[in-house]
Amino acid sequence: MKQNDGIRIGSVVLLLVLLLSIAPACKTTEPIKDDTDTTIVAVDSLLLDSKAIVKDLLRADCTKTLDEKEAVLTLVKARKHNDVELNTLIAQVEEQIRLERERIAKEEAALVQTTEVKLTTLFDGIAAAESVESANIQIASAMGFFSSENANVLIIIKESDGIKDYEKPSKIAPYLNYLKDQKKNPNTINRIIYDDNQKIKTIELRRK
Amino acid sequence: MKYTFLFISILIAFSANAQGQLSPARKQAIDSLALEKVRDLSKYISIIGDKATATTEAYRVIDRTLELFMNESEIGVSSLYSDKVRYYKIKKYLERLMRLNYTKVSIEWFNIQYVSDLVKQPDGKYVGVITIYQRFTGVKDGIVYQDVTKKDITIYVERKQTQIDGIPVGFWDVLLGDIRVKNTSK
Repeated sequence: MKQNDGIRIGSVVLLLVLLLSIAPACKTTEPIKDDTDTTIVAVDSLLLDSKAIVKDLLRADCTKTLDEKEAVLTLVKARKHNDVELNTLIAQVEEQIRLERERIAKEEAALVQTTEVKLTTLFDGIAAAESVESANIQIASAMGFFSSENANVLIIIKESDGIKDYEKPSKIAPYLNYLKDQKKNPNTINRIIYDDNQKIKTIELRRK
Repeated sequence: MKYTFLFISILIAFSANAQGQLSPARKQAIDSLALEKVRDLSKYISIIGDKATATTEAYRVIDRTLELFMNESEIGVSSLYSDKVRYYKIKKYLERLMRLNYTKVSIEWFNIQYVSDLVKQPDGKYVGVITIYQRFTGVKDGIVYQDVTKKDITIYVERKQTQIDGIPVGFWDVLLGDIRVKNTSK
């Protein structure tokens, strides 16, 4: 993840340098006939450049992340063009980003919901297992959702007056064995925190 | 150890007014948590004593059971055949329990309830006493031995603070202390 961040930051910086290097070049274009003509040529060139950049963002094979796309849009907007076509292109990219973010949020919510349902079924199954062997098989399945057997387990026993009271924090391996030994599942899933590999690193439970 | 228990009981009795500012709802949650730890202990003891439990499982459960107790805690053991109560360190007791010379063992705890409510002490900890009744049944050579023992368990509860994954976690650390035998009957 750190390496990806570096690449993203690098590409944004590169883009900045590119934009900044283009802008002054256009402004220092030598006059062809008089000052007025020069200004028109410089502005048009910068506008064309902005349009090309924004059109690039709309391409299906554009590899930029949503954050990178937003950063590019911010830079283009900072040039303060007042052009109908460019504004339309910018609006299209913004809509594309909005829809993509919406899709990702839905996917993440679905993942959390699916995980919650599956884990709840496993937790109930471990607690109700008729033999140690059967419970152990389900424990192994449940462990597959977690980053390691040392994933954190937090249990809220009471929440009132804005204060959360937790039980002593535990780890997932002993917690799953607790369900097996005590033959009960006294908690519901309240929150799940994933690591970069979509594995659970912390699960927050709440007393039923 | 007997004097320690007596001292704790007196301390609880005289510090009733030292109760903190916990709301009744929060206090009830802590009371329930402590009772739950005792019920957990009851289940662990029953697993360890059960002859059907595999040795590796029994040792794993012993480790989990020890996590419930304060260091150096003791438990009393009594018998219908003797007036004497013997006290063992928890680990020693659990290992003896695992190796009891019966072909079948059943241990059941019931009537688990507070006899001294959790009361805040000057050091900020809460201390209380929970009473349990234990029905022990052992079978050997077709002969059934059974007794019921009343036991008092001292409970220590302390509020602690930590941070996990950026989440501030204020938690209640519940630990069990000595388990004293009050009486044994058929």
